[in-house]
Amino acid sequence: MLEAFWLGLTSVLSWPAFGLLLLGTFIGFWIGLLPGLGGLTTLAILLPFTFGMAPVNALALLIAVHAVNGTTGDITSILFGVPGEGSAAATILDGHPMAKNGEAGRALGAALMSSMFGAVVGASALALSVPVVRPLVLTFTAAELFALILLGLTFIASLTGTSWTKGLLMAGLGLAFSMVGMDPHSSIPRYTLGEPYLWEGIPLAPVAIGLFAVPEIIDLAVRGTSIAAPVARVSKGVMEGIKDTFRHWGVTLRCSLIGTFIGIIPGLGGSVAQWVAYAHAVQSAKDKSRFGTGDVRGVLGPGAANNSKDGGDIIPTVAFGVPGSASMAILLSGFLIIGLVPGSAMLTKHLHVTFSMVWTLVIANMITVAACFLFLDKLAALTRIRGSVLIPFILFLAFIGAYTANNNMADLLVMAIFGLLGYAMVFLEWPRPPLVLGLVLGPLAENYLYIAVGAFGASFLLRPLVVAILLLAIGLLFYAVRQKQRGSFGEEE
Amino acid sequence: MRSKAQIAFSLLVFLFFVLFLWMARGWPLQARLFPWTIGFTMLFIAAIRLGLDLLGTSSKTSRPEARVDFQFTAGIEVGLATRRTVSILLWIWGGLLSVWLFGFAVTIPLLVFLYLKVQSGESWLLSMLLTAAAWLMLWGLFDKLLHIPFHRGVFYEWLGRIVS
Repeated sequence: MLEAFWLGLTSVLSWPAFGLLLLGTFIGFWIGLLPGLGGLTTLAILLPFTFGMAPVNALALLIAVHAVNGTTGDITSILFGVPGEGSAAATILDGHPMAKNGEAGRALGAALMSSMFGAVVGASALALSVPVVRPLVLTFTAAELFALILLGLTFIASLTGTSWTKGLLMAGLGLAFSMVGMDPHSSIPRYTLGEPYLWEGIPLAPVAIGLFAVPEIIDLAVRGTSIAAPVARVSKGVMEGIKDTFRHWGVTLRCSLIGTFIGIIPGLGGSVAQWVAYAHAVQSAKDKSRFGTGDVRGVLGPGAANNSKDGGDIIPTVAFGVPGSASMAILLSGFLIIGLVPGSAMLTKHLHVTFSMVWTLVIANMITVAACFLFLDKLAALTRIRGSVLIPFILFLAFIGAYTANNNMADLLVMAIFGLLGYAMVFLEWPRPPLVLGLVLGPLAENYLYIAVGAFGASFLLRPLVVAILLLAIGLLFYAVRQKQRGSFGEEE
Repeated sequence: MRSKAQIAFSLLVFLFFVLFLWMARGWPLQARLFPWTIGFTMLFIAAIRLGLDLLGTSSKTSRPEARVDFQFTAGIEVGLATRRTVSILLWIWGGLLSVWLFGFAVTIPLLVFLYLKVQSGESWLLSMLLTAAAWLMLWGLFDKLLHIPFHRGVFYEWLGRIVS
C-alpha cells in the first residue's frame, strides 16, 4: 500500500500529469471565481478532452479543476456577497461582513487556508478509508440517511438568531419551497403554478444570490461608500487569516470531518456540507456574539467543509461506482472514458491511480493557495473601490450567476423575487440561513423518508443506527436550547 | 412603522402556509403527506408568531449579540435611505425587464454605462472604459469562450413578426 501511495505521488509529479494538474488548477481557479459557473459545468466541458489520455493524466486535469473550483468559489462571496456557486453561499454570512469591516484579507486568508486544510483532511480520509469504506457505506440505508437529514435539520436551532419562531418559520419556508416541482413518487406537479420551469424545483443558485447578494447590493447603494473602510495593508490581514485557521484548529478540523462525512454519503452534496459546517461553527462556539457580523470561525467552518467534502465525495465513486454528487457522476463518466472501472480494481490493481487522486487534491489546493497569496492584496483592494463604480459590475455578476442556473429568464425572476424577500427578511430581522438549510435538506428528507417507509415500514425508526443518530439529534437540540436559555443568544419571546 | 411591517410580514407567512396547505388538499396521500406534515406544523408556529406580533411582545429591538445574520447599515437618514433603496431596486427590476426585452448583449453594457454616468455621475471616459470592459467580459468570456446560450430578447421576436 505504501508503494502505491508513493507511486501515486511520483505519477502526479511526472510530465505531462503535472502540467495537466497546473492547467486544471488554472481553469478551476477562474471558473470558480465566476458566479454561477460551477465545477459541474467545467467538468462537463473538459470531459471530451480526456479521450485517449492515460488515467493519471486525465484525473490530474479533472480532479484539479474540481478541487480548486470550491476553493476560489468563496472569493466572490467574501468580496462582493455574490456566491461563486450555490454551495459557497454560507461563506457570505461572516466573510462579507469581515470585508465590510476592512478585514477582506483576513477573511480571504482564512477561507483559503481552511480550504487547504479541509482538502488535506478530505484527501487523507480518502487515503485511509480504502480498507474501511465498504462496510461504512453499506451500513447506511435510506432509514439511516433520513435520520442523518433530521440531524442536519436540528442544526437550524443554531441559526435561528433572535427568535425561535422566526427561525423555525424560515426553515419551514425553505422546506416548503423545496417541495416545489414534480413529486418523484406520485409524478404530480406540486406548487408549480402551471409553469414547466418549476417542474425541476426552485434552483438554489438564484435563490442564494437573491437572498444574500441583493440585500448587500442595496446596503452598498444606501451607504454610498466602498464595501470596506480603507485599511493600512491587507497582507497583514491575510497572515492573520492563516493564523486563525490554526488558532481555531478545533472548528476547522471538526468542520473538515463533517464535510468529509457528508461527502461520503451519496446525494447530500456541497451545499449541505457548507451549511451544516456553518451551523456547527455557530453551535460549538461559546461566544456567538460576532456571528453574522464578521466572525472568522463563520468563514473557517464552511471553507474547510467545502473542500474536505471533495475527498469524501470521491470515496463511494471510486470504491463502488456510486457517485456522491452530480460532479462525481461526470467524473464517473470520465473513469469509463479512460478505461477505469470503479470498484475493487481501484483498491487493488489501480490503487496507485486512486492515490494519485489523493495527491492531486492536495497539490492542486496547495498551488492555488500559494498563488492566491501572491495577489490577495489586489483582490482585497477591490473592496476599497467606490460602491457607485462597483455596483453595476456586482449586478452584472449577480445576473449572470443567477441566469446560468438553467439558462432561463425565469432564473432572473427567481433571483429578483428572492432579492425582495431577502431585503424584507434583513430589514425585519428574520434569519435567512434556516431558509436555505430547509431548501437544501427538504428534498433529501422527503425522498429518504419514503424509501425508508417503503422498505422497512414504521419500524425503520427502531433500527439501531437510526436510534443512535436520532438520540444524537435530540441531544444536540437540547444542547442548543440550553445554550439559549443560558443567554448566549437573546430570545424575544 | 417597523412593528406594523413585522405584523404584515408575519401575516404574509401565515397566509402563505394557509395557501400551501389548501393547494395540497386534492393530491393523493403520498404527494400530500410531507407538505401537510410541514404545513400544519408551520401554520401553528406562524399563528403563535402573528399573535406575538399583534400583542406587541416582540416589538423591542433584539440584542445585537443575538444576531446570526447581517444588519443594514444604521445611522443613515431614513428619507435618504428609502430613496436610495427604491432607486437601486428600480435598477435591479429595470435591468431584469430590459434583459427580457432586449437580451443580455444590449442590457449589460447599457446598464453599466447608464448606472455609471447617470446614477453615479462618473466621467465620460471612465463610464465608457468600464462599459467596454463589461461588454468584453460578456462577449469574450461568457459568450464566445463559455458558449452560454444567452436570452436574446423578446423585442426582436416581436419586431420579426411585425416585419414579416
